[in-house]
Amino acid sequence: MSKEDVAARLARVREAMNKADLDGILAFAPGWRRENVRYLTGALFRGAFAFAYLPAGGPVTAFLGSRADEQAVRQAGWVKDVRTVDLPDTSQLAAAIAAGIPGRGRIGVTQLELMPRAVLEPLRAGLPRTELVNATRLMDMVRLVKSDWELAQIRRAGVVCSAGWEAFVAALRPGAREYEVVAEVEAKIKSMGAQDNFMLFASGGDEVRGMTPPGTRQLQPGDMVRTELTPSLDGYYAQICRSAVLGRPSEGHLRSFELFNESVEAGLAAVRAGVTAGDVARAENDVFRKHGYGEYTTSQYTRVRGHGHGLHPDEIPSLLEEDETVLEENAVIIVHPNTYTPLCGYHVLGDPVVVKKNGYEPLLTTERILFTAPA
Amino acid sequence: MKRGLVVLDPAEIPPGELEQRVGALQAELRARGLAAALVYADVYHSGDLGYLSNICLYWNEALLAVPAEGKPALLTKLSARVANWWRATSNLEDFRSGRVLAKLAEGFLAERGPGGVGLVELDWWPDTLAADVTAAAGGREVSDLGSVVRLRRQSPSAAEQVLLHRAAELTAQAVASALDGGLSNHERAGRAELTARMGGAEDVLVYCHSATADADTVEVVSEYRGYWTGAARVLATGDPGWAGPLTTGYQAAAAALAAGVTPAAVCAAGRAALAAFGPDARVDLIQHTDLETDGGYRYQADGAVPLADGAVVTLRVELGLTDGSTAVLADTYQAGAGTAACLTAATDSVRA
Repeated sequence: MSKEDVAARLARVREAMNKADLDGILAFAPGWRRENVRYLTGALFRGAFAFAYLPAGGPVTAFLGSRADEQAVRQAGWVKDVRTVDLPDTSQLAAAIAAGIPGRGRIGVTQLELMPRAVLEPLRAGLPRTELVNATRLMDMVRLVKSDWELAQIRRAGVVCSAGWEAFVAALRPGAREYEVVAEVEAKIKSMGAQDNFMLFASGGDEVRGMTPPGTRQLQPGDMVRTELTPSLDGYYAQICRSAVLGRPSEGHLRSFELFNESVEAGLAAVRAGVTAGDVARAENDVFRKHGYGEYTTSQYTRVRGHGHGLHPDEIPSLLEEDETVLEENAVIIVHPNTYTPLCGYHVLGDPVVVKKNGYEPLLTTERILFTAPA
Repeated sequence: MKRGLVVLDPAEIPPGELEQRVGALQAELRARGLAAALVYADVYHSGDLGYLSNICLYWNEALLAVPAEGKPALLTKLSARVANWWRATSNLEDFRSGRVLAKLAEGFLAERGPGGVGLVELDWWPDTLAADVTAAAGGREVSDLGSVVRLRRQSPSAAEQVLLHRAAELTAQAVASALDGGLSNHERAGRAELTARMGGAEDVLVYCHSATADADTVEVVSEYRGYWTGAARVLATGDPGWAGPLTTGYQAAAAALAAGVTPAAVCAAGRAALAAFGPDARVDLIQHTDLETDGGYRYQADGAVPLADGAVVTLRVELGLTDGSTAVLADTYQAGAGTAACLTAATDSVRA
C-alpha cells in the first residue's frame, strides 16, 4: 500500500471524525471483529484484543498484546508507533491517549458495544474527562467505499473464492460427508494464501431451510448442495453463493434456479451509485413477488438479500427493502436473494460486485449457473 | 466463523453428562439463592456455552440462560431457522431468537421465581450488554458468578479426557502432515487444514511462517468436539543457531510440568533456561479452556492456581528472532502426579 493510499485512507477517517466532532478514533478489535484495527494498521492479528488510535492530528498508534501482533503491524509497514501493552489492561493505552487530549475530550470507539467490562473499565478510569462514544457505524460508513488498492485486494480474494467453489464442486460425490467437502475447500483456499473463511453449508432436498456448519450427512444422488463461501486474503473477503445438484437436476431445481437467477439479475440491474440498498433489495424481491413467492422474502425464511463485504465478511449495507443506505461508487456488495421456497428448499445464488457510477463491475469469473456433479 | 464438523455423539458424551454439568451450575445457583445464571458467548469465546450444551455458536453472540430449576434456554441473535440444527447437535430444547439479547433475557427472567441473576465471568461480557441485562432484570440483583464454569472445565471428566486425547492426536497429525520441506508455507497450511478437518475438527487455526531464513514454524491450534489443543514444530531448512537453545528452554519448561505445579512456575522454569534471550523468549502455559482465545481471556491470578490432576494444557515457547520473525515450539500435555504426558508428541520438536 502506497503512502498516498495510506494518507487518503486516514484523511477519509479524519473527515468523518471532524463531522462527528471527535478528538480521535480508538479502533477496538475483539477476536471476531478486527476490521477497524486492520483498516488503521493494515495488519492481521492473532491476539484476543488489539487497538489502534488515530488522533485528530498525528499518526496512528497501535496497542497490541503480543509480539506476533506487533510484528504483524511492523510488517504491514505504515504504522511506526507500535506498543505492546498488558492487554486486557487498557490503563497504559488510556494514559497515552489522555496525554494527547488537553481538557475535556470526545473519542469515538469502534465496537464499543462489544468491549468487555475488563477492557472498558480501565479505559474509562484512565480517561476520566473524555467522553467515549460508539463509532462502529461511523467506521462502517468510512469503510463502505473502497479505494483502488482495496478493490485490487478484493479482486485477489475473488480469485481464491472462485477456486474454492471449483474445489467445492470437485468434492461433491455420493457418499461424501458434508464436513469432508468443507475440508477440501479449506485445503484449497488455504494453500492459495487465504487466512480465513466465512462458510455456511447445507445439503439435501426441499426440507432444507437454512445453512449451518457441516455435519456427517453423506451426500446422495439428487441432493442440492449449497454454500456461501467467503475466503479472506490479506484481510479482505470476497463472497460467492452457489448451489449444485448431484446428478440430473429436477424440475424443482431448474425452476428454482430460474427464479433466483432472475432475481440476482434484477438486483444487479438496479445497482449503480446513488441508489439505496433498499432499491436493490426491492428489485430482487419484486421478482419473487411477480412469480408468487413473495412471502419467502420475509425474515421468516431469510435474513438479507445481500450485503457489503470488505475487511469483514458482512458489512453494511444490508440489502433489505427498509435499508436506505445510499450505495456510493466503489462500494462492494454481494447480491444474493438466498432463501427457502417450496420449489427445492433453501437455494443460494449470488455474486459480489463493485458499485460503479452507471452500474457495477463483477468481481468473480465463476459462471452463474446451476452446477451439477456426477451422481 | 466455525465451519468444521459439529455433532453430538452419545458414544462420546454419555447421556446425562451435559445435564450433570448444568446440574453442578444449578446447585451453585441454589446455594447462592439465585434464580438463574446467564453465560455470554460469541463466536470467538464460547467454550462455557459448548461445555454446558454442546452448542456450536458458529457466528455472532448468544446467552445461555440457566435457571436454578428447570431446563436451560439459548438466547441468540442467530435465526430461529437453524433451531432444528441446534436441536440435533445439543441437548437444548428451548431456543429464543431476537436482535436484542437483553430483551430475550428479560423474557426468560420474567418466567422465573424470585432471586438474583448471576452473570458468568462478568469481566468478559460486553459492558453494554451487561448494563442492558441488568436493566432488564426487573429489579433483581445482578452479580458476578466469576469463572465457575471455566474452572470446572479445567478438571476434565473421563469422557472429556478421551475427547481431549483425540483432539490432541488430530492436532499432532495436522502438524505432522504439514512438515514437508518441499511445500510453501501456504501449502503447508492447506495440508494441515485438510488433515484436521478430514479428521473431524470443528475449528482450525494454522500459523505457518518463516523463522529467519533458516527455518519455518508450523503451528496448529484446533478444536475437536469443543476441545482445543495446540502443537507447533520448527522445520529447519538451514542451520538455525537458535534451535538448540529453543529446544533446551522448551524442555526445561516441559520438565517442570505436573499436577500441583502452577503455570507460573512452569513458565519460570522455561524462562530461566532461555534467560540469554531476555524478553525475546516467551513461555506460556495455556489451559485447554483458554486456547480458543489464545490465552487472552485469562486472569492474572490464574497463573498461581496449581494444575489439577488430569488438567490438559498447552505449553508454548516463542522465540523472537533477530529479523523480527518468531519460532514456536508447542505441545499439549496432561498433567499427572510428578509428571505430564505429552499428547501431541507424534513428531520431533525441530525437524531438519
